[in-house]
Amino acid sequence: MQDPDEGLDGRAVAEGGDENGQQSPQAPEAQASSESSATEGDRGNFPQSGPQDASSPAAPCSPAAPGSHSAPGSPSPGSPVGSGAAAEEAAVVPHSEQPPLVPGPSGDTASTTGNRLLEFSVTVPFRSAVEADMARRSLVSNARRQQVIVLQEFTVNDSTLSVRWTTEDPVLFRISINTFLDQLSLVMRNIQRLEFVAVVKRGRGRSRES
Amino acid sequence: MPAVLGFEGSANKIGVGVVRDGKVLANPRRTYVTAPGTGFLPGDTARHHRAVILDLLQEALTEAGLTSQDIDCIAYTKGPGMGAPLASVAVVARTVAQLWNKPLVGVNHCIGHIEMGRLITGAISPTVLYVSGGNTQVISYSEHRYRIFGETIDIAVGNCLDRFARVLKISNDPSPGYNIEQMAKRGKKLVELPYTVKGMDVSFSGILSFIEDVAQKMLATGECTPEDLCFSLQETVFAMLVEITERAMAHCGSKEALIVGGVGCNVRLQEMMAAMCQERGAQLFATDERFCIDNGAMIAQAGWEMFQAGHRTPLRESGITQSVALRPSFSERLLLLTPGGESFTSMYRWAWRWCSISSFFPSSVSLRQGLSM
Repeated sequence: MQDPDEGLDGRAVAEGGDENGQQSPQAPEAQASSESSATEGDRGNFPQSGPQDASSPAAPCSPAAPGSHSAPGSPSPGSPVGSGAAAEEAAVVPHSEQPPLVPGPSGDTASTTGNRLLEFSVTVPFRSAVEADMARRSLVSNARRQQVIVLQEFTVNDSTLSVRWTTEDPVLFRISINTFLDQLSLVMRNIQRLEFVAVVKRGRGRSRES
Repeated sequence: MPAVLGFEGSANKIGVGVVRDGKVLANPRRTYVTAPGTGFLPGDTARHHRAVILDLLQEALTEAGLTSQDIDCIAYTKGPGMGAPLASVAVVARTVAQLWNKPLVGVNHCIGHIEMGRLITGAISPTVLYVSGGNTQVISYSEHRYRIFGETIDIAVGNCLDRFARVLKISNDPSPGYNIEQMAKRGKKLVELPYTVKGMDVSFSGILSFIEDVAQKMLATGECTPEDLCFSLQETVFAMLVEITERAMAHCGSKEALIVGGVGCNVRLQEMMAAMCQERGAQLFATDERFCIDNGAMIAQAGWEMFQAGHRTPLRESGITQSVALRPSFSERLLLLTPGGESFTSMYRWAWRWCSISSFFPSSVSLRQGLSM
């Protein structure tokens, strides 16, 4: 898998910056606080976020803004894509401590569905409102597939994309969040790559692509 | 001369193609290959696609010698297929469309196969045998409409072959079907297998269950070799496909047969179909592995025709549709395909209406009729 930070000549460089980490005008504000890029491989090394009880902090979750430099082994624990964006605590609103076991007709016990409402929010900073809205429109269509079970709310405020999950199903809750983060990573790499091509083209005297 | 960029990733192949006015300018592809004895899971497949799609995009543009300014439309596979891979590819298509400010067109995967088959072979009005890992259908043109005359009532023929390959731990590289084909060439003994043609439809799940059960026993006793089993399975399932295709051709008086889909690469299937066509005085059309197997160019081609007809997919309607290829009962099929049979769901509408348009010629009238939803 190609490192999204890899330049055309194969050197690993910080997007929007050089290897010394100097910022370029293209670097987003969140880059300074981001320690890892949103690469596919990185996510597999991180503890997965899941439904959390209100008493335990949620794993901070943020996609690295375009241009962030990949620092091996550096992301904060439980952070699939590094800091820079805040993930509010995944809150569980328990209406009961433990769902009571109900004996079935055959004598087997089965848990009731309970009323544990799971919530999770993530905010993602982008370089501009245009990019934030672009990401929202790219991702929201996929979220609609499970809206009946997992409610996903997308909001764009200036250059920040906020997403909030609400569901009672812990499995789909986890799957939906992980899927979103994977796809968000892809969107950001996409923006990053195409922008990078545009920079190269401009450098060669061609017209701006986008 | 509009140029269309197409993204395909409904199964384990991810491809990005560029087509301009019927000419394929680029068509790079990657395949997610799993270990022998295993299939490919949606999550893992999607992960693979996400990892390579941007490289493929760059590769396609470079191969075509185009920039974003030269692209007029972005096409992507809207369905049917596996959900996670479809969604991942759709995300990229939407992002690219926004970045480059180009219109977006969602394409039916099945239609992509057919349109590419027609483009490459030049077939005018063929009876189409669409065979792949996920689809098995006989589609023919009759009374001003393309109709689905026959199909599998359970699993696709490619799925049958792939799952049998797992039983024998046949390598998935480059594909299990290809390796079965090579082994079948060395087969000498025909093992009798269930032959299940039900009218115009076929069934493969029983054959698969049977051969999975007897394979180990026969191999253990030395009654046959793995090559014999591959040979026998191919001969049986392909004969079934030839039968239902011939039946459709006889009904429609068709003089052309076109094979599309990944299984269409199989030379033995082409031989058997060619023999049938020769007996009927018909002509067989087939493409090679570049266009039989899932690829981006076929999506670009279908997208090109939709774009020319004025069709656009708004971003808010660009969600993927995993299970478009539904299998209605005969009465439902009749209702769907007859004029005025409008009482179908949006999922039906997409697949079946496409197959009901009066012609696949890229005329604006017929395409607009087929695309109205």
